[in-house]
Amino acid sequence: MRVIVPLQGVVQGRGGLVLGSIIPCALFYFLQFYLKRNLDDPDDQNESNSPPQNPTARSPSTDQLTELPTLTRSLSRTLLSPRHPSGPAPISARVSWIVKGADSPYYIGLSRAKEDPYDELDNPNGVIQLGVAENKLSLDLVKDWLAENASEAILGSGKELSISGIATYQPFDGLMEFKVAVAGFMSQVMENAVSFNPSQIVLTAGATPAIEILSFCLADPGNAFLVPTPYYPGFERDVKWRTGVEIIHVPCRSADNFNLSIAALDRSFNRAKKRGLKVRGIIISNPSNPVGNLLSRETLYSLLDFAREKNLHIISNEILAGSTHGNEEFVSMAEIIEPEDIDRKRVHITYGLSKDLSLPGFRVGVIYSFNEDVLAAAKKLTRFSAISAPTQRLLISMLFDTRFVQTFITTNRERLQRMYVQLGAGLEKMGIKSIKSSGGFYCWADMSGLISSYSEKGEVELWDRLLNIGKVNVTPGSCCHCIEPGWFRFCFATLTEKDIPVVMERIQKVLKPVN
Amino acid sequence: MAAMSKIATGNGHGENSPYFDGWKAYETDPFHPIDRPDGVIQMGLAENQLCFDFIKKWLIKHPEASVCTAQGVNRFKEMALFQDYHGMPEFRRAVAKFMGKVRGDRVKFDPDRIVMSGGATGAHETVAFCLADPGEAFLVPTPYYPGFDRDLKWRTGVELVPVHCESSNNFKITRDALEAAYVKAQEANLRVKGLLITNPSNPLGTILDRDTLKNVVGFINEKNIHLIGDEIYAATVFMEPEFVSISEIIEEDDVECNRDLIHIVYSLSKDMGFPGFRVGIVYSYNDAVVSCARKMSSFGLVSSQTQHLIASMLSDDDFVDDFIAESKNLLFKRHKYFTRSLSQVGIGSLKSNAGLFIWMDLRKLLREKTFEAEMELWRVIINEVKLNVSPGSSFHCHEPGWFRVCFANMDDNTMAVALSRIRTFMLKNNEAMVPPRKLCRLSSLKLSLSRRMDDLMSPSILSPHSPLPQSPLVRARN
Repeated sequence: MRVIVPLQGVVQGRGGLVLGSIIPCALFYFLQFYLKRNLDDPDDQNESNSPPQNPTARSPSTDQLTELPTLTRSLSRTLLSPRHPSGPAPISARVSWIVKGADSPYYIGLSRAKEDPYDELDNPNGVIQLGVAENKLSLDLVKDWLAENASEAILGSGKELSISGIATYQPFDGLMEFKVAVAGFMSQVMENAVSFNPSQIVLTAGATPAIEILSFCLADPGNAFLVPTPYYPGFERDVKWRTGVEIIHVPCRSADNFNLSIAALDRSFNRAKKRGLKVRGIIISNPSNPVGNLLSRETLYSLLDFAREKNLHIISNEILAGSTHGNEEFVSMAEIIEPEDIDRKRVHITYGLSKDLSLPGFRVGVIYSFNEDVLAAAKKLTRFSAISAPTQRLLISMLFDTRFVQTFITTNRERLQRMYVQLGAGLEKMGIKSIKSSGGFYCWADMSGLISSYSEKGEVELWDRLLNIGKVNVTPGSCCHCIEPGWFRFCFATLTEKDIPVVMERIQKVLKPVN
Repeated sequence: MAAMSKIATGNGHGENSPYFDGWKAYETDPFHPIDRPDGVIQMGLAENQLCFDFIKKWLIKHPEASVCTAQGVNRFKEMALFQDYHGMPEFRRAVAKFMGKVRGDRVKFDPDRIVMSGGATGAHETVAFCLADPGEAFLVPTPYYPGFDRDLKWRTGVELVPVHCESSNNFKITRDALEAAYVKAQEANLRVKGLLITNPSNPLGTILDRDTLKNVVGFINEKNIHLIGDEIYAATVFMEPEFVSISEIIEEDDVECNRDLIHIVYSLSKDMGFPGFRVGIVYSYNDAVVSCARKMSSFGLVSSQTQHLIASMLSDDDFVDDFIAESKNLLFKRHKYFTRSLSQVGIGSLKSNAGLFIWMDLRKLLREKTFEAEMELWRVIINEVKLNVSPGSSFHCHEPGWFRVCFANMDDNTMAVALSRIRTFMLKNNEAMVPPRKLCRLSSLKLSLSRRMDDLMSPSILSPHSPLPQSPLVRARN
């Protein structure tokens, strides 16, 4: 009122001249000041690049991100350019996003294990890596296959070297032959419970772009996906980073064995709605990472009902479908979809050869969808993430050898089972219980009784001791957004059986009470 | 039914451009010397197939480079698991060395700045994601590769503002043109974040001379915007004048440049003829961009098997030196043969010394100096002459009548067939002018003319995919 009246006075020529002139000038001045501070000010950029207060709040990590904390310091130096009065080179907001996550325990752990890797003979005091969900247990089988089936594999089925078949431009979404081979492999891996149609496949350079492409196709910036927690840390990057899409957590609890409940899904959906976020879909991982649970047939049916009711998409990340090791039955989303069901257009499956065939380096990912429009759009986007042609040729031969594939799947499962049991038993001897799980390369262990305070801080402290004193790198649950502190993921598929007692000894050392 | 996103349902993929219409025509009726001798010959694909035999010999001689052979299999385990986005050190060293050799070893590249991406397509998109936020813009000299409209804009939300270059000075990039484009962008309320140059140029096949490069560097430093140098055709320079890279210019004593603004996009798709390998490279002098691009490379990592193969091949110095020389030689010969044969029937082209194509001048064949006439002529070339060439309008060329014609993606026999068709067409054309009415009836090819019409009618020089024409600001101004 006090501002308006003098202005009114000036306008109507009645007086209040002084205030009436000063106030607009003051407002103008403050507006300029605000604009100057927040738009082009280079100092502002440096502020946003400084280390975050809460290092585990955002962890844009994967199984192999190895950023060093010193990044932020060198960043400031490069951004400040004294010779150029107009300030440092302005870059995009996406660059500052990654710098924020640089100090997460996930990065630090991976980096330490890489710098000082354990070796039984050469480096017995090195860091033992239990933080990477990779499978080294059955690589020898793949190597042996290659040794026997060498040259035809890449150069052209025993015929003359067909260089134009590998060097020239190929369809970005993969060679049809390779799609057929991958469809066959997926069926074998899922014990022929489903028959996958090659023309519903779009191939990508790894599962990472597969998930990002679906995120770009199914949601606009500012929309959201519901994702049960704890979840694979890489989703932060794959689902959110460049897409501008949000993730809404759907907490799963130890009381339910971290199984997904539709009630929790519903609550999270409503929470999102209240925040004004449009939910476009649900992303499930089956088998799940980091817990290793399989979703039951009933849960999958309920999920489909829920998606139908709320008009959502379902992305089912089934990348570990072939890495099950228990007696529980794996059920793919593809199995419960009826061919005539109109809701099949909501269902999209991501897959890859990184886990089930232990070939993460070869970059083979799959989008399998029942929705032609999604497939058409995804196909166009694969130009940014296409699989190398020579790699496709090599793998076509391997995957068509169904006998080899069957031997591999069976042997691999046995080896996973053995390691899972041994690691689980070893942890249990120390009073650390794990969730009974049937899939994946890890034990999801409860160390909540061993942390100094029942909080993320307590959990990170224990992680730190395990890494620096025990020289064992594991993944703290907070990196996976677990709602209960004290849970840790222990990956066992990069170890040999001999390593397990060493691991146990080292953990024991950390847990021994200090007298 | 649950809807899809705007990116998925929109036209950002750019496949409605005439550039791709010609490809569709080719795909329905592709030439084959025996099975389809009357089919359409693909002259719209910039692929380098001239050195295949050379590479084949090396692959057969070095089975250990292909990890699948008995000799190569010992490295297999490491390779199978290797998904570190830093990339294999030997791969980066080999690529850095190759890039240096291609520039006559006048400049050295740091292997730690080599970042992988899913082909040059992925590299461009990654750089755009790193340098600009949605709604910001890059300046791009015309004519430019149509794929930029997709690669730089589609998922990034970045705009492209053309810098018009004219045939009157051989499409040189002038300081005036740069300034004019910058001002136009500002008038449209677009924040310009960078300038993208392709050197050697696609579609022109020419290289930027030292003065132009220095002008460009001066311009971007003055405006404090980034410079992205797409040097994907660097090794295809087959004749004098010698190629000068941005990386060389910034080292010169009389050049003041903030290196944080300099970024190079590279790939092995053109120089080596390996588009199927999907090897794209982002080389930035800006540490923050290197770090960000490296993380983004997770979306397009080069297969470890391919990294290993490339590392072995490019570490073989003798092979690389011979390859570069042989490639230049074959390109030179093919280019000379092609341009001479064309000039014999009265077709000129822009004088070029690089690339896998020529910028053909058909202005005198146009019924009138309009893009409509260019489209008509193009339809004749596709349907009557049965050659897929790319019309200049799809490259955002400011003048009608220019066409890009690729010459390195076919063998000698196919080239001979293509030339004889052109000869026949030109002879017929010289005998009698084709009446305009006949041209209009050739409508079997469905073309997206509306896009061109928008360009012609709108005073704005912005891309038709730009959301700005809908903005009340622009509407108000119009």
